[in-house]
Formats: sequence, C-alpha cells, structure tokens
Amino acid sequence: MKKCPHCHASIEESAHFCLYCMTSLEEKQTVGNPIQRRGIRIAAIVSAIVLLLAAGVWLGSVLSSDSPETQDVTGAVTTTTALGTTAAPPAMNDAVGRPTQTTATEPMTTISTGTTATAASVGTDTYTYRDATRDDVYLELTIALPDDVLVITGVLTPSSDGVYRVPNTIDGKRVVAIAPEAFSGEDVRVVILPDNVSTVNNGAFSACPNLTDIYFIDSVFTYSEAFAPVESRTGTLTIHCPQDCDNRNFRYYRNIASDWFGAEYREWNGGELT
Amino acid sequence: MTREQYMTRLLKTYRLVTVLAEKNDCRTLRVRHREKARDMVVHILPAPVAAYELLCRIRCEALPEVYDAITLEDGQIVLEEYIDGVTVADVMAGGRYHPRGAVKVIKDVCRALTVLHARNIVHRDVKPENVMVTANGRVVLLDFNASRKVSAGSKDTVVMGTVGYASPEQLGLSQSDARTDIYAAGVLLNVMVTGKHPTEDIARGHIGRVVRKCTSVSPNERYQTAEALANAL
Repeated sequence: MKKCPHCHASIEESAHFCLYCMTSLEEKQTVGNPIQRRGIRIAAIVSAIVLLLAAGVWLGSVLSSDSPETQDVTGAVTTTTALGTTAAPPAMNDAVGRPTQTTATEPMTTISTGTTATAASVGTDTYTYRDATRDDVYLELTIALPDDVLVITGVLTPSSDGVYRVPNTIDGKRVVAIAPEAFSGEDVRVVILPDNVSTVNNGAFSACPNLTDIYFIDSVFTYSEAFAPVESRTGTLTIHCPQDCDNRNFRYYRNIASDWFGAEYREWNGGELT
Repeated sequence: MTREQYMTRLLKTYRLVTVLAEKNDCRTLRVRHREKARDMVVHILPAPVAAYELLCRIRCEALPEVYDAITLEDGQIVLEEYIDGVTVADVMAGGRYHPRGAVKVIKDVCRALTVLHARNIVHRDVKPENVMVTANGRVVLLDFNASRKVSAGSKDTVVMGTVGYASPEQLGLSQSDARTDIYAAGVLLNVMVTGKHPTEDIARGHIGRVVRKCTSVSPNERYQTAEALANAL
C-alpha cells in the first residue's frame, strides 16, 4: 500500500489513479492531434454557411433533375422444396436487371443441417469422415487450430454422385472452413455447407467444372477465387442462401454472385434435402 | 483480491448511478463520487483486456481516458472517464448525417484508431453505438471489450464484432488487423450518410468511393492505415 501524494489516502501499490480524490498518479502522454477549440467554433460557423449554400444549390439541382436511379436488389426467388419435383423456377432478373438463365433442376435433395458424425479413424492430426447415410468415406479433415476446430483439407474417396454434404461437427469439434484446393479436381456437383463452416478459401473448388449448386446455411465468407472460373464450367453455378436470413453476408451474395462468381443467386426455404 | 471485494471498497466512495451495459459476463457501470459528485465508468471484466493496460498511460482526445486497469484474481476492473454526450446511434435515430458532419466524425474516429493501431490494438467493434459526441463537439470512440492485441501468427478463433460491421476476415479464419477497423469505419461512414449498409445503398460521389475502398473484401485493397482514410476524406 502506498499513500496518495494529493490526499494521503492509502491506496494499492500498483495503482495509477487515486479512487478517493480522483487524481491520476502518473504523467500521461498526450497523443493524437489535439483539437483546437476555437478553431472548431470558427470552422463550424464557416461550415454552416457553406452547408446552407450547398444545400440550396443541391436542392435546386434535385428539383430540376430526374429522380436518382435506385438499385433493385430484391431479385430473389423462393423455391419450394417439394421432394422429387423438377419445377423450373420462373425467370428472374439479377441485381443489375439482366435476365438470368434458369437451369432445369434435378429433383431437390434434402439437407439436414447440423449433421454430426464420429470419425472413422483418427490420426495424429487428420480425421477421415464417413457419411453414415451414404456409406461413402470421402472427406479428409485436419485439425487446424488450437481450439480444436476442423478444416476440410481434401477428399479421400470421391462421392459416387458428386454430392458432398460437409459435416457440421465431428466428435464435438466444429468444422469451420474449407481449405484451399480441398475439392480441387474432384467431380463435385452439389455441396452443402452447414452452419459451422464460415470460410471457403481461394481455390477450394478450383478445377470443379461440374459444380452446379452450393448451399450455404449460415454466415459464410467465400474468397473470390473459391470456385473454378466461369469459362471452365460445364453448367451454371447456383449459390443458394437461406430465405429471410437477416445476414448481411447473404445480401453480399445476392449482389456479387453474378459479378464475382458468374453464378446465380437463389434463396431456399430451409427445407430438408436428401 | 476478487472483483467483488474491490467493488465493495469502491462503492464506499462512489455510488452507483446506472448500469450502462451487461453482456457476456462483462458489466459496465456508471458511478459517482459521493463527495466530489464526479462521474466515472467502471468496467468489470472476466479476464484482462490488453487494450486497457496500454491506454492507461496515454491521453487521447478521441478515446476515453483510462484512469486505471486493475488486474484481480478473477478478472479485471477498469476505471474510465465518463463521457457525457450522445452516441452516433442516438443521433441517427433522428435522421441522417450530412456528409460533412459524417466526415468530421470519421476523421476523429480515425484519430482514435491511429492511436490504437500504433499500439497493435484492433478495436473490432466500430459502430454507431460506440461513437459518442459531446456538447463540445468532442468525438470519442468507446468500448474496447471486443478489441484484441494483434500478435503475428495467431488467428482469431472467436467471432467478435457486430454482424454487418464485421469484415469478411472476422467471419473466417484469417487474422483481424488494422484493416478490419478500416472496414467497419467505411460501413459506419456509409450508414451515417445513407442510413444503410453499403451492400444495400452506397453513398454517392467521393464518399461512396471512399466507402467502396474501405469495404473491399480483400484487406489489401482497403486503406492500409486510419491515417490514409482520414487523408482521403
């Protein structure tokens, strides 16, 4: 305990501040540009005058010109997931008003979110994952971070029909990302990413020309080079995001799916896919 | 000493005015010295936040003065300057900012960010609720609970920040750095001027260009320092 030099109260040895008289016990370094008080007042008055003038000019120009163009960003279509139907969604315009191609859809498969699985075998830092519903051993995973989260690093045995349902957790560890080149070169057609996956790295799906559908369930960030370029694809890539999801990243996809990935954006209502 | 013991001692000299915030095991109180009638903010935290220790030694117009950061057995207690003013969120409730006003606020926020980034602290939660404006026109960046000391080679494993202001790398596995705060500042600027997130409605003209650069998905394409952003405005 030491004594405060101002009020002589007994305070902690390591204290920088005296609680009792509210004074700092140390010199402090002043950083950042100090604001000139008087300068602010003058600047405020000058700015106010300029603002009024600018507002007058702006008002004049607005009243005399056409109304500004606004962007319509609501080109989304909800698709119902009736099992086994192949209803083609109605043609829709994408974010910049170009009509998009609608693809003839395969029968909708159901997604079960939050799939958990146990590892078929555990190496020192790799897991293999067997999808219990399909009897495929097809994913290789790596423990990437100290927090025991998993990152998909590759495919061991390719899925027989090109559908990959990424597990949400394995042995209680969350699967959080797809590593670069994880699926590169595989015959991937449909990918379903569960809610724990938050990142798809560059090159994750490079050289996957047959990829037609990718389903996001929750907040996910896809790097710009995640997918094979448009020219190399055999069909249209569609990015599916949950309908009514109040997640700004999905609004990103609505706007960027076409520009960035040459992909369509579609919303789905979260129904089950097989 | 535990936090409870420290608070018991503190509350002999101060009385509780109000609880300002209570989330995730972190409590923020406003207290008043019983005799001097001066207010102070007390943060009760479950674990030490590095930012406060460093801010103890400096005084910056755009940051609340940190009087003391006391590490205890079961966490940390931080004593901080009480800023009397309104948050940008409160101001926004009454309408949008004029571009010039927004620029002035963002420039002061950049001043605060420059000071933090120089000490390797990333704020990670720059948003209207955390920017306060006083009657004198002083702009202060508050709330370092989400902040983190950046160290080379480590990765963020906990998603911090507010959705919408969280830059893409905060939602993934790469490291947050100074440019994460630049991203959030760009979103903040846009929201102040248009009322909406840049992905919904981007500001016009020069401000729109600045916002676009701030919110580039790739951190390398953004302004690399808060100072660069301030200079661009």
